[in-house]
Amino acid sequence: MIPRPLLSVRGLTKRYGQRVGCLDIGFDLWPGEVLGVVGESGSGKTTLLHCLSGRLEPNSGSVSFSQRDGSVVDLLQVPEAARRRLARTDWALVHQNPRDGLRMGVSAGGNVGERLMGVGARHYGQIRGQALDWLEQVEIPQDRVDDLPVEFSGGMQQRLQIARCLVTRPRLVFMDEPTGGLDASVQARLLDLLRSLVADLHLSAIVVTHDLAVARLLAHRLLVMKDGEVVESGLTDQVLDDPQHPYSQLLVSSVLQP
Amino acid sequence: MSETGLPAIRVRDLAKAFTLHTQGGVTLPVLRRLSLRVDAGECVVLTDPSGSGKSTLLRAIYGNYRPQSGEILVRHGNRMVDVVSAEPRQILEMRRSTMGYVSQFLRVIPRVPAVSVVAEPLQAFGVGKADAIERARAILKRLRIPERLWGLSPVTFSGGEQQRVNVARGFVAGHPIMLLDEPTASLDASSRAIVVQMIREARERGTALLGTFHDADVRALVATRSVSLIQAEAA
Amino acid sequence: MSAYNFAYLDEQTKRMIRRSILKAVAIPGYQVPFGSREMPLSYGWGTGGVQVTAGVIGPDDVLKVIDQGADDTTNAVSIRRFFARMTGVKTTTRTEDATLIQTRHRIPETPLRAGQIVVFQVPIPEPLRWLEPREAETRKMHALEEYGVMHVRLYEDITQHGRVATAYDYPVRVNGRYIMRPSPIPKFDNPKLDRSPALLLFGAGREKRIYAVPPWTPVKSLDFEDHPFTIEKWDQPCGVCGSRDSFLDEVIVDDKGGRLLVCSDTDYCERRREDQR
Repeated sequence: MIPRPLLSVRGLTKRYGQRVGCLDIGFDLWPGEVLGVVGESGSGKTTLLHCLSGRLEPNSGSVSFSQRDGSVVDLLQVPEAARRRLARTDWALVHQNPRDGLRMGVSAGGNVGERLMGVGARHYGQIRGQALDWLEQVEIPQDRVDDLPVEFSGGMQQRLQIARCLVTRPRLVFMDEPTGGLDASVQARLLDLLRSLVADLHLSAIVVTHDLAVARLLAHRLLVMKDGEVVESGLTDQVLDDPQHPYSQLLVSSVLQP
Repeated sequence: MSETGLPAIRVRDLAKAFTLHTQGGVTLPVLRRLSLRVDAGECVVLTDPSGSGKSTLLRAIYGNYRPQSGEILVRHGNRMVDVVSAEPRQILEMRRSTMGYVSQFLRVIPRVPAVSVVAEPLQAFGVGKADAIERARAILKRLRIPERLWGLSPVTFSGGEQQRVNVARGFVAGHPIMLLDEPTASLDASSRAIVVQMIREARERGTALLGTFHDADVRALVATRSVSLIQAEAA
Repeated sequence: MSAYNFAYLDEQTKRMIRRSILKAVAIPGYQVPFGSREMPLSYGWGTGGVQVTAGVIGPDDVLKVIDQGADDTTNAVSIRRFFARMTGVKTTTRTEDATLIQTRHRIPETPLRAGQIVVFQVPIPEPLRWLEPREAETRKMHALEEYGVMHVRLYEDITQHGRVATAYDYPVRVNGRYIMRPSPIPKFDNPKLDRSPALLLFGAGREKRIYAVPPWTPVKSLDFEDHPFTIEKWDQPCGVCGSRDSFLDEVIVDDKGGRLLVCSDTDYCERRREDQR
């Protein structure tokens, strides 16, 4: 089997009238690879993420996704039904605010089990068992399985969201500022968890972040975005240690060192 | 010389400069048309004073710095791969199985215990977790890191302890090519001796090593050949 | 006869309702929007059911109207009288004599036969509304069969109560495709929906939806493999007719708090007592 990228993006462009959201973006993402997209507010990184995850419709470009059976589909050409199905089975989106990615009125176990039930799981005991396993993996005490997410701290909500996303073993995970809004120690714990899960589950991920430390920790490769365009790309450590583009240099030099 | 006759590292006409856009665009050339070769079983030591680009060369070979022109051919499997033009994926693959790097400082990730820090390169290589932990423990023991520290994050370790964890991490997987940037800088004499021993053992195994050591005694003990970058440039 | 059009509604409105009913019958369990009219009763009192009945009733129909199984409650009496005045059709309390049965919250115990139409009064037609307030989203979920959330609802029940606690309006899957709320009938009545010989029509006036289960359509109540669907049981028979197979209401009979279990289907109970004399 010829190795093929999991995701191949070409010429992806999204405009808002005269304004450019993202312009002519292209990259490949391989299985097991984490791609970081960094830039400041207004750089277009969130627009890019939304275009890839199906929340926004781009004006032009192609997004080729390699499915489990080996066939390749252009996500921008398939009907919405197919895209939504892929979104439930093959991908996951970890929102910056866990409340956007959880059902706040449903118990933790129900939140984790929903995707399983969505693909046909019909045995209560087994669903609950898997939910308990996942809570353990994301370091949430198992006795909280029946509690509502409103009763959880922000960090715990975020870990619950991650469990909910990963329970059906998606091959591609989109993360939008996954540690945004969390305290430093909570961030560290979450990053540690994300690092191990990505490695253990051989996940591919696209992580949008403005925090270069997060990018260094999680990403194998980086795209640096400014004003909707990719100004530099390469290995994470290379872009952060030897930035070539003036904007990348500015970004890297602006980070405070404690 | 290896069985196949290919060098481990072959640098050709390498040029690297830094352009500091945030400082008005000043350009600092560091390496000017450098050529260099390292074979298996060699430990080549760079002898220039600091600021001459020794670190830059090591980082460029590792793919951490991006040169402006030239070639860096590294033997990966039984092919020569040019790091300068390689895909990021390829460089990551080479770091996993072929090239090891030991820098002066350990980049500490909070919460990850020392033993896991050291086991990680083995796991990336495909070694099972239990085995990787075992080997990590063995090498930490050799470098005389007390067992009570193995389960702790190196965040609170002393500089010397951190560097020994760094060395352990660099050497544990037994990569055929090792790049060493002042690996013994913050170590005391007895720790230095252990590292020297590890370098010599690697050499005997056929590892190709390229490094810088500011300590003349260490250089004398590990080097099979000394090279000056200034002489290697545009030779 | 009154000065109103037959069955109160004008002919165009009846046609519109019939078109919606035809669509509903063509797609079992699918909610068809319709132009719900103002009726001479408030929302929440059966305007949907009344419009559906008005849409299908003809001069030769025999109409039965029940509310919680009884023909003699205020609402049942009002609606029956309304149609008697608006159409002049014969009315009855006997299930097997009726051609058209409008009901709130029960299906009659007497088995239905081919040729009968049952019209259900529905308050909230959308089974996914508990989780998703957006209409646009629930429509997409139905279209794409994204029904995982319905089992989440059952999961939550079992988690909180140890069993599925939903006792009425228990969600069902119609013809293996659409998930439907069968209106607030007790789950005891759900098995009667499955492959019924009668035509089942559902009308929600306030929410403006009509849906249908054509005769002989499979209707399955949602459950888990290890928590299968079960119906209610009582440890005593009906205190009046002795039935062990019908849905029983608990009735307070005296000031000392004495209770009696009685069939909720008044027609069924009365007929059994008649047969016993």
